[in-house]
Amino acid sequence: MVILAVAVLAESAVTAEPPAWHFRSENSSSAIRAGSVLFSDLNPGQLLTPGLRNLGSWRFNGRGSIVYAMPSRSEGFAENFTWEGFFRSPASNTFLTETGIADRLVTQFAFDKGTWTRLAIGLVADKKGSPRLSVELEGFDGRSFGLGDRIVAADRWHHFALVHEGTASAATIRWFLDYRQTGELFLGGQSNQNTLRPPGTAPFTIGARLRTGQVVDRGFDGFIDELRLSPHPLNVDEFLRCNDAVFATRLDTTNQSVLDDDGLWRDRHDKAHVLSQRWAPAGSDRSSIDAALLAGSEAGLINDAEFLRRLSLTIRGRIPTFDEVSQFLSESRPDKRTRIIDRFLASPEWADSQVGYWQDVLAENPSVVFPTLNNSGAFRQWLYESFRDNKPFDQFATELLMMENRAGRDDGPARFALATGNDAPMAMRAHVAVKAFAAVDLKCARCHDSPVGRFRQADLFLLAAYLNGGSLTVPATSVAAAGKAKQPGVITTSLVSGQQIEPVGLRAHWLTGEAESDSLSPLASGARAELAAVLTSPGNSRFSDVIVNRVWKRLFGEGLIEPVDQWNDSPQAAHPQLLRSLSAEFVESGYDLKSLARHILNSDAWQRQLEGRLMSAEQLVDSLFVAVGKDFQAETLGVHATDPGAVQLPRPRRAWQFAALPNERDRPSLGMPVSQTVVDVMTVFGWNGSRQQPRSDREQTTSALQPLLMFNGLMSQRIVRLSERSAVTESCLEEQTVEQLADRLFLSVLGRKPDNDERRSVVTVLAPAFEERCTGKPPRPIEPLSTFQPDWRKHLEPDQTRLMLAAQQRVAKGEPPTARLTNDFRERIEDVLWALINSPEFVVVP
Amino acid sequence: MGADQQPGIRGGAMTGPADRTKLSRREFAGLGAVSVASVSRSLAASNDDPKAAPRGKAQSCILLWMGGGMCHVDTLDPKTVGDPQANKAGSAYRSISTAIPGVRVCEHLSRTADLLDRGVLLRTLTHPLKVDHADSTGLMKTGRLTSGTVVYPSLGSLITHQRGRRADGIPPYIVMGYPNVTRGPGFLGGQYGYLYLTDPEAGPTGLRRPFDVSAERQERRSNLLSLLRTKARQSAGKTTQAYDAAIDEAQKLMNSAFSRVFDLKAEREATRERYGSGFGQRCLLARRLVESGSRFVEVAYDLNFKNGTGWDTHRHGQANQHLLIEDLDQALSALVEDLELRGLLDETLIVLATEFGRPPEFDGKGGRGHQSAAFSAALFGGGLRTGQVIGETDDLGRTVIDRPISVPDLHATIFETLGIDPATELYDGDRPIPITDHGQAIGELF
Repeated sequence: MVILAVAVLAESAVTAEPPAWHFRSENSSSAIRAGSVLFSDLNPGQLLTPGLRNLGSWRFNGRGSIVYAMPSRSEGFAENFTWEGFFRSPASNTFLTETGIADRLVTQFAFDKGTWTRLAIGLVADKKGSPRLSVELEGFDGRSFGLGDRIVAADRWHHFALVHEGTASAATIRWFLDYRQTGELFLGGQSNQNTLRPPGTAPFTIGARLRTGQVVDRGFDGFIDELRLSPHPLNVDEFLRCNDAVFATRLDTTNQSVLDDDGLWRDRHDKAHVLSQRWAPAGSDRSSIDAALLAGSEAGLINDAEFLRRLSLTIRGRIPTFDEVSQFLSESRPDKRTRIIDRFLASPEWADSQVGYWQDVLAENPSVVFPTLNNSGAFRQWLYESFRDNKPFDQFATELLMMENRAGRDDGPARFALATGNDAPMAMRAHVAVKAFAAVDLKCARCHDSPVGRFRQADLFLLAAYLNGGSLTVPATSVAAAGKAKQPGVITTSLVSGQQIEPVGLRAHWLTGEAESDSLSPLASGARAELAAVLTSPGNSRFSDVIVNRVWKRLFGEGLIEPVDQWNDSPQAAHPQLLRSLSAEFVESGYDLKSLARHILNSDAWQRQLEGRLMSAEQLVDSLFVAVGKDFQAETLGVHATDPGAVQLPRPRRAWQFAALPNERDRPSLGMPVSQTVVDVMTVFGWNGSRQQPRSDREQTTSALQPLLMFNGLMSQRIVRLSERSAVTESCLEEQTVEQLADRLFLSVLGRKPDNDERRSVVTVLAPAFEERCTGKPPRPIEPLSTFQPDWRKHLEPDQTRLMLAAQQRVAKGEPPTARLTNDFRERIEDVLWALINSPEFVVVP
Repeated sequence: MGADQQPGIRGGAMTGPADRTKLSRREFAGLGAVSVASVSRSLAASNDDPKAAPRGKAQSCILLWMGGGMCHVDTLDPKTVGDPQANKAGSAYRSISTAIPGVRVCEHLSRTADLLDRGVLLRTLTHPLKVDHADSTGLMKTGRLTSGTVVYPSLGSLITHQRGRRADGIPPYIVMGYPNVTRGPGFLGGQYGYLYLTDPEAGPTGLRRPFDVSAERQERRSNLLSLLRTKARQSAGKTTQAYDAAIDEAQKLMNSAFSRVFDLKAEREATRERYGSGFGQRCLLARRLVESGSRFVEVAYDLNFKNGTGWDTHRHGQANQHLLIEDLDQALSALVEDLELRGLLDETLIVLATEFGRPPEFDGKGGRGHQSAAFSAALFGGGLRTGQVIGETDDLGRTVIDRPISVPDLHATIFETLGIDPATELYDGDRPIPITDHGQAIGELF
């Protein structure tokens, strides 16, 4: 009998909810002998060493199995769960067997009314004898089987995942090989009657099959590791986030693209520096920010509290926590501002502060229902990772324009290529790209030459041909019938429908109007790489000017050139020499966004009194949840729509992860009650999940709808409610004076201490119930706010509407209040919180 | 569409950069908006024939939206009776006579039939999008095909933009349905958006204080907030001042007559019963809203399906479609009667519309697919010359025989009824965009 150490993790660092079980082997190449092993929770094991393959995996010999008896809460696993893990099987395996799946990775059992049923995922031979990852349900009403769509290569590590989502009456099983879906089965509902019944206390096995409680014959032959069982239907982005850090090395890296070659990029940046000397001002002519903006006058720096709040909102997308504020305010080092700038820039939250902006600029517009016009794929995760890794910006632009998927993942720039329902998708994407990187607006050129500017239709379509990677035909709908205009010459078209455009002859100066210059040679062959080289060329300052100006605008509220994305008529910069200097430095730094930001953030000009701006929708929502230490508890964004263009997005952890919700058809059963409360607030503060067009500016208007929703909306109610999940509840329970608590509330929400009047007023409200505030009762058990998840295939069943409405009511009722504080006291705190979040001071960035 | 009527090309009036002057709009704040004025101007006809002023005098519009595709041959344009079992094409129900001589409608619309002389049947709506609900809904709501370059505003936003508010403290544009882009203001900007609600009893989200906050608690909250606002105002930043002003406006709305509009218990029991349940109560609320001064109210048909599919009667959905029609009949007739009783019918235009119709043929399971080549809509009140039928379809309602009505034509008719010139041009940035895509109002109605 072999006892293996099992690590049961209390919390996963990256997913919102912890997995139920997580198995890792501690011992090297532990061999599993035949026989069943029952074990229970032991101490957590140590982390596997990445890069050392086969160390610490379980080695199966085709017979052995691990049997784990499920604890009593297994009832839940008839509905939503995910198994995932890594496996590797040798080339010498044969997969032929007359009983279906030959090599079983994981099998779950159920025993009901005297019969066993089982659900298994494993390897089975196709007609040609090649192994495929497949799923089999031997249920009460027959057998359901699905063959994966790809051959599993031998002698390599693979990631597998099985996601079961549904109820006893209808469910979907999807399975993934190396993060791409490879099969799907619908159970129950109208398609078949077979479903997975609650397994009760029946076991599940790893490696082999149990027949009526005994281990039998053929099992998995190979290595298995890092098995994870989660009580949620996860999706690819969630697998990737969990596995990314540790297991990137396990995946096949033989097809590495030249784009990932760091040495190559460093080399390019050196050359870029040389080329930029044509236009970069000499060292002695460089402007400094303070010299240009302050022109000798006194800066009038903001105080530490305001500085910290502004900094945190700007480069982490949310307000600082109570601890962060307290610590910073009490620090006395003279260089504390510089140090905290560095610390925040190094945080992965820098990436969170960037994604929303670039989603708008690049028109990232995935559809969770049926795609309509100009839906793109979901490339937000790639955006996030690019910023998290501080990818050099010319590399970012190049990767985007190359539109490839790499390293076995399909959630990258290839999704940028998509523009659904658009008969000239590459024209649309070209428009997005040049607007983003060259500040040239070619919107009108889709159908006709610009009547006021110098760009013609042919310019846009030439770019489109480059993005297409080959010749492009002008569709009929792209040509306004100007030839028949009563006033010819007012609108012209330089193209005719059906015309072929070849990707040749692109020169940067056409777009920028500047003198012809050299570009660096393209990174790879093909028209896309050529386009990328032209658009990012350091031979002229356009690319770096545009990006520097965008960063400037985000930090100061107004660009050195306005508008930031349309320089068609060559507008003048407010401080041309300064822009050029910053631009030159940007190239010299290797197109390093953080380096540019650091420079600006450390200037007196940035740290002085500036015109306050309303928080963006994302900043507002993220800040509210941070202030009270709650998380969204939102639904998975997707309805499993029966369209390959529809996406499933993971449960949002930050506001940028939300998307336009699917309810265009007024169907309650497609509603997402929790997410709707957040999306309502975001929409009224200028966010738009439906980004059919690129934009660089959000609406900045204020309207009464904003405070209305902040006063009485369901999201605000949830923010102020002192439930067991609220960090404010914990704060209230601590030993402290009522004055200290009042201060703490102000520091947590507004990032500063109250003045005497404010403290007095708050203390007056809290004092009557303060001494007796703790009830001494234990906390209530924490339940999810809503478990409803819309599903396209079930949405016409009357049951679904009823379930959604029940969920909506629960959301309206809100989280149950904590049992640990008296009602009277709790209400008083909630009222104080309410006033704080509704104060104009909260919503304005200092 | 004439050759001289291409979008963006108006006779002799192309604007260039020099023409982009910003005219200040008439005194109109959307919903307490403090905003940068967006450019909006009516292009005075120059070389074109001088257009007559719009002929309609209605003040408000109620859109009854039958989402899903309401079958025209089963409601407003009945034909010979078919048989789903025998796969014989035709109407599913018998027809009855109406208050318009010689005109018949479905037997389940009996109460509406008696009031049909206050209405107009438009039997020849036609457009090319019959496949996707979202696309067709977008077309019906915005009057345009979805474009890759312009996000068009909805009918409600356009009417709100052109006619402005009727009364202070009442939001001009309200939706009883779920939020989505096709109801939104598009390039007109957020202040022409709508307030929405899905539960008439609760009212729009944000209007009522939470159920667990007593008046006493609300006062405590307001007092604390006042103190904080005073302090914030001292910083004198423009944005802070603007948000503070928005708070004032919001508080006014919360305490105003507007929040009482949603109290349906203030109506007589008999009135509430006359309207019926669900959809009917929403129609009653719509009446109260226009009475209080809203400009445009959209009421989406029952958000909870009665027959499994709503109006989208594929397959088994057809079986209980009559329940929906009866529901509609009760609510619509109650609304028309009620408005007439209060002398509001002439100034309120009711539009009954759907995204497309359905073919006379039945599918394999007794339901119907989609059809957009010919389908129906109806208009009531609005000061129009009612008691008419416009257009004629063939013997089974498949195609238009006479007088096709395009979606822009429908929009032009609605605009004209509300005193808005259908040739008005708006601006998205520097691009001129007429409020309808060259629609022509139906002259017989004025």
